[in-house]
Amino acid sequence: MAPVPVRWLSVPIILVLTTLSGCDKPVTSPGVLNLTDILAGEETTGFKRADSIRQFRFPADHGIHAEYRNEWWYFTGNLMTSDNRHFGYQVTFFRTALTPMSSSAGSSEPTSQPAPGPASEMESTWAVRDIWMAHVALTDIEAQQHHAEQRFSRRGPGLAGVTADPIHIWLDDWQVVGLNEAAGHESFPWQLNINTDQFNLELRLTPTKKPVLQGNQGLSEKSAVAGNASYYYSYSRLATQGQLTLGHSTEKNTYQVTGNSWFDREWSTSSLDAGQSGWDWFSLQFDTGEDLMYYQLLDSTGKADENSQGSWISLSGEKTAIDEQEMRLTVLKTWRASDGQSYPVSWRMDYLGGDQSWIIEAAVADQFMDLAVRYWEGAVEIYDPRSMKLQGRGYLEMTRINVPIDR
Amino acid sequence: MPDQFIRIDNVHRVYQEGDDVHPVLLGVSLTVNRGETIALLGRSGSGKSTLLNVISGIDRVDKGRVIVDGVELTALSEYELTMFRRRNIGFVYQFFNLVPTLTALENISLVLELNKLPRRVIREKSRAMLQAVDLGWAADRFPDQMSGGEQQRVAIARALVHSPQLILADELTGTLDAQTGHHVLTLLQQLVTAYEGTMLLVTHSLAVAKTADRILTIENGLLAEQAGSFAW
Amino acid sequence: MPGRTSLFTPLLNRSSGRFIARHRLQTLLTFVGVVLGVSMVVAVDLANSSARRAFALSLESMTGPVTHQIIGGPNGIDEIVYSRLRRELGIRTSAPIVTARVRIKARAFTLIGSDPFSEAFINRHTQGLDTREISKVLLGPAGIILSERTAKILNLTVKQRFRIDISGKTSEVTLASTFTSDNPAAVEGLIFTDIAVGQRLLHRFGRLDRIDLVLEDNADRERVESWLPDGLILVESETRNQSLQQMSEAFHINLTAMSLLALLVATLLIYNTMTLSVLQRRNTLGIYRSLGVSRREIFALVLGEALVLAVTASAVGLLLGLLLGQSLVQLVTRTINDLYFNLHVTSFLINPGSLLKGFLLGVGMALVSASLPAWEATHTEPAGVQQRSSLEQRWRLRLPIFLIVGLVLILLGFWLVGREQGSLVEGFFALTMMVLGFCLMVPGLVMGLTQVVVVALSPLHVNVTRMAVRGISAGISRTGLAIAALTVAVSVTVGVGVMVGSFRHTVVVWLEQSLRGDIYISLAERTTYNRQSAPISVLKDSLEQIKGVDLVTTSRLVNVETEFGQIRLMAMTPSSRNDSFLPLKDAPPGASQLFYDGKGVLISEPLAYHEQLNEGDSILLHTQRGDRQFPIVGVYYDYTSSRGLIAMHHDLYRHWWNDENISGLTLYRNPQTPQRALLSTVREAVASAEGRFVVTSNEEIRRIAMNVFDRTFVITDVLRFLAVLVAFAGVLSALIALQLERGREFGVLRAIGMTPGQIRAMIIGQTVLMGLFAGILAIPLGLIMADVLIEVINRRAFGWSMQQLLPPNVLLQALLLALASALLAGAYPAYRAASILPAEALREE
Repeated sequence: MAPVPVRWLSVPIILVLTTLSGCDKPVTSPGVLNLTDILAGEETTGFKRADSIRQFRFPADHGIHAEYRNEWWYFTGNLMTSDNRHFGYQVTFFRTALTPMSSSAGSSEPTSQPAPGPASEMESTWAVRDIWMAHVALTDIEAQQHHAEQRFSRRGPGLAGVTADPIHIWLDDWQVVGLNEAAGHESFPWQLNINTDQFNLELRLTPTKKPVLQGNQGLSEKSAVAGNASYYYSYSRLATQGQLTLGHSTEKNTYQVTGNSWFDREWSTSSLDAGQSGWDWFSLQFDTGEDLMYYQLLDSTGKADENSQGSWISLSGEKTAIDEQEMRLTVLKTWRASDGQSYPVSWRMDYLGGDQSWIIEAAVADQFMDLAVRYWEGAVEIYDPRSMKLQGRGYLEMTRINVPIDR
Repeated sequence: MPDQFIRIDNVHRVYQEGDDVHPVLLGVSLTVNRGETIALLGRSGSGKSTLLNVISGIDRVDKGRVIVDGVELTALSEYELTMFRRRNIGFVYQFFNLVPTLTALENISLVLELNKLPRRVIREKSRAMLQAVDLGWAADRFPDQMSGGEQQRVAIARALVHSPQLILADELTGTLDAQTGHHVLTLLQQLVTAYEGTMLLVTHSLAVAKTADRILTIENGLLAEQAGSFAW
Repeated sequence: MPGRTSLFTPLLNRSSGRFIARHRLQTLLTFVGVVLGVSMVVAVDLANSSARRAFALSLESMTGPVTHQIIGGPNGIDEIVYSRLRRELGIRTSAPIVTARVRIKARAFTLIGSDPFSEAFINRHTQGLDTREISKVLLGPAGIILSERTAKILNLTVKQRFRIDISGKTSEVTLASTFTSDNPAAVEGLIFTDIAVGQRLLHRFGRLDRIDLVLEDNADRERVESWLPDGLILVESETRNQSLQQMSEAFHINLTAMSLLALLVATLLIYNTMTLSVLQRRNTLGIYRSLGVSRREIFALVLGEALVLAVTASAVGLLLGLLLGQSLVQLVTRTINDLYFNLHVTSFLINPGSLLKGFLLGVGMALVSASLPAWEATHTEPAGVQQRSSLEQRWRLRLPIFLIVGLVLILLGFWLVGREQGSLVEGFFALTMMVLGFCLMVPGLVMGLTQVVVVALSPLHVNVTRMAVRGISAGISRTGLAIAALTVAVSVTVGVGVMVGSFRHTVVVWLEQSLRGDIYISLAERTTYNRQSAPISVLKDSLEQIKGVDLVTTSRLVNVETEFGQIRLMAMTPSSRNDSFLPLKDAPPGASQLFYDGKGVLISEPLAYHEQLNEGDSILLHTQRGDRQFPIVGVYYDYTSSRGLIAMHHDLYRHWWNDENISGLTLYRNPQTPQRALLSTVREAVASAEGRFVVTSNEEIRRIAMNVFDRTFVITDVLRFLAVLVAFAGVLSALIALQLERGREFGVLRAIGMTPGQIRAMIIGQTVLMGLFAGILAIPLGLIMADVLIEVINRRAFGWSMQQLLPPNVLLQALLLALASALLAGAYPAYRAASILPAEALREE
């Protein structure tokens, strides 16, 4: 999944605290962003960096990598009811560390340590090292509606966290639980349980392909600067079935759904260059059973960066890398979000390496995640440019950082 | 040579209220012999009462001298004046001015008490005095339980009980009917004459005035001796 | 409508105005009296409403929009419960709370440690939080947040480090951030911090004090309730707050009653003044009557004067009340802090209702009290036929009626308080009836007393003294009221003095009986969790080894939930089977034995009174092992809590609450060992022990308790003083009027040879006598009042019984107070009368 920048990931903390203070102004003012420097800043000292190729091990790598600053578990997917009603969903858990692991209390002020005593070696389970954030969204394509919700928490006495075997990722009652405790299955199928005021999801995910190590054997370099990279692997296709409930208490409709999901795992300490201004990230699942992941990183002028890359995953799960030269993306139509940014909602994608072209259309124009971290993330439909026949479905994520707003 | 009891020399008394100046006495001179009864006539506000107050030391003078029984009152201190009054002067007022919280007998004995007479003497003298004004029966009455004439008789008794050398009577018949007034006046004169007291009667009744040895009128702040008839 | 317009005849009004102008001093004094009376009512009401509001805000600021709270047993709540609540039930409108009472720069605060992430769903009064430094709270080990106002009051700036006192232990914290609140008063005394910091500061790891919840719908409430693990209960924060607030209600009622007594004194004063002004003007009024002014017009005239006086005085009274209220609120909140609840809010609230109430009371009372003299005025005979002292005579005729009515009122009051289970307000009503009744009787009693004095003095046969004594009875319509006012004020002093004295004595005796141990050791922190109990157990063992220590017993003080709400439970180990370890009140002979054997509990007197429980009943407690009825084996005296206490054998408590913790140790010494020496040995032992403890000798506890006791009654002293002040104004005003009225009489007396000194002595004598009468009359009234306060008011308000004690100095003080006030009040009129110029005095009229 796409790299959510470090600086952005720290924003939610501020937001949560401003929410606490009853102030719900958008957290975009420079003053608040400065705060992110204080919170997490660009300080990478004490954290490990994704600077070399590593050996991935499953299911252990599904779990926490606490020595890195940021980490996320990203589920997206397209679902369909028996009467052909289509939905898109997103469930993401983010973890960001405020302090490196070594100093647990995280203070550089030894004088204000609690007074020594028999209890001083004890620590509160509430002590904050990581902030957990989760985003869920549901796109009701027929109704052209998009619901999104976020949550934050600290680890606390078990409020949020992850265990690898069996898998358990949770923030409050938003949970991903591995259902299979037998060895060698990475506890698949995984069950996603999401309850919000507007919808509930209860989905069971089983991978149909092995995990794909993105980039260079899982080391996904995001800029020329060494260490500005992440470890990144994907399950590009998970057969999904379960039920989806729309509405709340009295007025609710439950649908049995099936479909395909995509699971991205990524962790890093820093990944983006200061000059980069955002990205467009595609995860596409073709009806043929092939998948494509491609992201283009945008430089300060909004042009695609040379570090843009992707992969073509065959039916059997074999990966073919895609570099920036092999892909041409053309914006056909944009949609302006409430943050003033324009997000392309219709693309022409020319995969020169594979000699294929598609039109990628947002299933709903407004799939803007108007949350503490603002971005566009939504279900897309893939069309043949000539016949305009549906070729598949996928998800698209677009972020814009510090892009001047042209009005 | 007659015994000169009161001598007033060129007495001035001016009242001042804010910016208003009311000259009351403008150089009054007068001599009164011991045992004499003098009637003082004059219109309302002519200064009769002021003259009386000056003679008794109740009021001060702005200029001049007042000598009573050889004592120059105008030179005495407040305390000495009080003591002088206590011993030598008896007052009878138009409105009786009895102490409402004391009985008739107590009102009379109060003066003797102030003069620190022995208690027995006080009792006897007061009783005798009450008898003398025909009110023996009313010893334990409070002023508000008596008629005007009775009250005035108590007042006379109180004024005379210590046989003061000088009796000052200010309109003593003013609020009484003619008959009672006459009776009271006669009583007073009898009692005063009995021990040769000197008396100044302030009145505007010619009938009352005529009972006096001399009649003086006060007008425009000056005193004049009357011998003939009156204009009013 | 000529009749109507003539009610406000300009010339009559002008005449009134001139009369008032001529009697400026007298008017001023009445004015002052009313001002004081109204200001007292207003001040007390403001202080009360501020304190109540502070109470509400203190609670509200902590609960905020919280609808429910989960509270645990004595050990708090395992924090896992909170995680499970969120994970299993998905209840996110919830916040984990640790809280404690702390001090910064000697000021009391409530520390609240919560989780900002969770708080996001609960909107407390923390608008405008400066987020710039907030990360310090999360990352720093000891960052705290204050409201901007609190920071300003404490003179603290962001990033500043300062010391915070938590149960006698000092920690250093950093002001991480400040916030402005939409309700600054509510958050003034709160310290917010992250829950991790809170747990660190309070050494309360793994535990929560409560969980705050916002449960909007019933289904959620039921879900939580059915899910809740044993030993935890879900309470509605509203109900909880209310029951907490009701604790201090009796205290507020007491204060209000005292302020109303002051107003009563002020009312007597108004009555007095208006009567006087009618009396003094009977000529004028007579002339009016003969000129054809109707009775109705005269009534309106007098009432109009009273109205003008009352309105202006009440208005000024409001202003003074505002000032006075600011001081009183400090006293009131301090008392509430001492006795009931930690009010971290001390702001002064100007409640328009209080102001209106005070104003209307002032004006209303003035009008009521002026209507009688106004009615008298209408009965003025037209000039010429009036009798000089007809009014006095009418008064004298009325005295027997007053006596009878007064007596009936007093008896009615006695009947009212004699009834069992009456309400507190009823008690005060009865007390008011008694005071009013006594007031009515005062003039008659004064008449009697003057007769006694006259007879007693008659052998002396001195007319000057006679005048002085008879002056009182002659002017009974004025003197009687002045004396009544002074009597009431002084009797309040006596009544409250006796009550406080009795109370104090009772508490002293009770402390003597309760503090059987010699040295008390308690944990320095309120930390109630398992980890802490090991050191105290170790300490117990080591203390038992000290030479001279006979016995060490354990105790545990916790709040438990009962059928009557939260009540404090004292789990204790009696020193021996037969020892009367608690001062028992109603208990059968075997009560101690039953208690010792864990067969039941003892409850304190207030609890027994309020909940109408008695020996033989039982009380339902929500124990850790479920609900359980505990038989009540007896009732014991306790003055530490007006809510009440439950005492239970420590073993019984352990059994039902699975709580092995110890809050304190009681050390009994060998009688041969001197207390002082043992104390220092114990202190040394404790200092070297692991953990932090507070060592207190029984002597020190006694001293601290009495300090708190005395502090509680400071406000009472202030109110007593003010009541006397009002009465003083009344006496002074009455005397001045009286002496003015007798100007001519003094003129005559001066003319016939009385010296100014003699007149002065006469007046002083007269006023001293009035003071003496007031003092003498105040004693029985004061004793009645004390009796009612002790047996009825305090009992109904707090459920405390006390031994009545008659401190002789209180009676002496009452006499001296009455005499001194009268003497002071008489000084000026005496001076005035003595310096009267006879010539002028005689010229008048």
